[in-house]
Amino acid sequence: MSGEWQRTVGVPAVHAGVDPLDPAAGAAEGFEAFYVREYHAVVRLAYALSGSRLAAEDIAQDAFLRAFRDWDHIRQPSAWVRKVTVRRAGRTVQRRLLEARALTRLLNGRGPAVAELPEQDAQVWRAVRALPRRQSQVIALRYVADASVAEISQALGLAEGTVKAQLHRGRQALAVRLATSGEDHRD
Amino acid sequence: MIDERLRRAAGALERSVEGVDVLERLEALGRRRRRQRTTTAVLAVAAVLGGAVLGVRTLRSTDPVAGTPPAAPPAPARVVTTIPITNRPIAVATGDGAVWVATGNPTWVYRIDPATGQGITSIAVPPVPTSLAATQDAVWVLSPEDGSVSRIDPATNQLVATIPVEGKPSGLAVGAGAVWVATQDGTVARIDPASDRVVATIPVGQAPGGLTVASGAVWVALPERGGLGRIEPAGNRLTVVRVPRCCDGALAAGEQALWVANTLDGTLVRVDPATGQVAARVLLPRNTDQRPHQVVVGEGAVWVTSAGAGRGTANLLWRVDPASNQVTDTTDLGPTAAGGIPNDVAAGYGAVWAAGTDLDSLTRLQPG
Repeated sequence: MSGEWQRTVGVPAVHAGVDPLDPAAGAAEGFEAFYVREYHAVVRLAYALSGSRLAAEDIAQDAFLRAFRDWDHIRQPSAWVRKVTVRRAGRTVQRRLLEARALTRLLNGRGPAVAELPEQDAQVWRAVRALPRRQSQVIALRYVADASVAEISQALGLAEGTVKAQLHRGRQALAVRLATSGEDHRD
Repeated sequence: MIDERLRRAAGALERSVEGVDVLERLEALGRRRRRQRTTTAVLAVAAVLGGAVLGVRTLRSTDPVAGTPPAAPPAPARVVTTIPITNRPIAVATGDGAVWVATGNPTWVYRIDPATGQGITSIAVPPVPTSLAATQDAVWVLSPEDGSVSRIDPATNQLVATIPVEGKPSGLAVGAGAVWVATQDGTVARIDPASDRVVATIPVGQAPGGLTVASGAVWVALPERGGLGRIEPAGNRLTVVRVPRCCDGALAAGEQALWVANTLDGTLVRVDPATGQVAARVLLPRNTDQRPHQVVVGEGAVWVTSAGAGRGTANLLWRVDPASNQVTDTTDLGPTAAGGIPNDVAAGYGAVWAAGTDLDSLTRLQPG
């Protein structure tokens, strides 16, 4: 059996019917189908980079709302919505505002649908967020969105060589950080 | 090592968002958009009346949240015949020149002439038949309560074999040279139609769902394992294909695709059986609390019935165009009478056939 059957998340790879690198993808696919296909992946990305399960859904929703407004003009919606999400997730002030909005909902009895991460995994994402901004974005896109170097390059507007370098440095720095803090639980 | 750690942490993230209802969020986004549109329109009217009106109209005409109808929608499916079957019809299938309907009380299988809608005969089967599969030389009947699969010979309309299946049988499919039965005990049993015996039992994991045969392989919904199981008939080997937020519900094959009536997110998932990759997720119209239930492919379309938990909700039949992956028609089959028990659906002989306990009938629809 080929490795293809064992592929897991991989948004661009799994959804072969819509190639996010296809310039016509936005026009060919309706917004609803795009939303249903991408929403969970974008919430995961927002959660990884913001560290806030309260704000993650609102960060993603705001990115999709912007995508909806500009739908006719967006040529690569998957890359576009990821780019907006990684930018918004890193803005502390905006995150606090969204958390305040989520807390209001919480007081009205509507808690977040995003579940708490196990501590061992939460530590990994804390370490990712502590990296320099570009490194954390590249690592999150690579591992959370399962994006290729080309796709990360497209989403962040970086040269592919830069993406590879940031990935390498980010992994190295993470290995040191997690090992130093005794958090790299080797099996 | 760090790569493995990151992948494990990414897996935890994936699980953390499983409880997020994407359709509810899509509706919320639509509401936000409408509120903003109203505000924008009011502000714009205050500024420049004529231009603002034009702007609002333009926004509405291109609103993708409201759904974009196809350029030339087909005529809607319409009910042409209702054949009364008052003793709890449960399942329906087409094959060997007939429409076959299983009923729950008494436990019979009716053979119906598709041209006239007249019943030809009825055959007593073990209790309680919940699923049918018809081929050229056999009609197979799944009876979970009895723990068996029965075989009817369509040439004589006689029950010719009853095959015990261990492990609480729950799903049935025919193809790739065998009859396949999913069980609640987490297996798929393989029946050899030449000997009418179970010749293999393949462990697949907890609570397997729907079952079908596509592109020469057997596919089974495995919600507990996060996707689909693919069984190679040559060696009865199982491979699990991960599909995010899938797959719990009925399966069907046709139009070069595998279709999943996915109750987990309320969509119809289209899978390429050659690669196991998701080709599309078809958003089904949300009407009250309806969820996709049964799915069948035939008469140039994919047909999906709905299930709702509440009494009095509609029994819906959605038509999905396999070329565009869009719902092109919704037929209301009438309110549910008790318990929201949904319909089974079959296609063939120029018609779509819907049967259901709540309907007390077999409904023949003319495809659009």
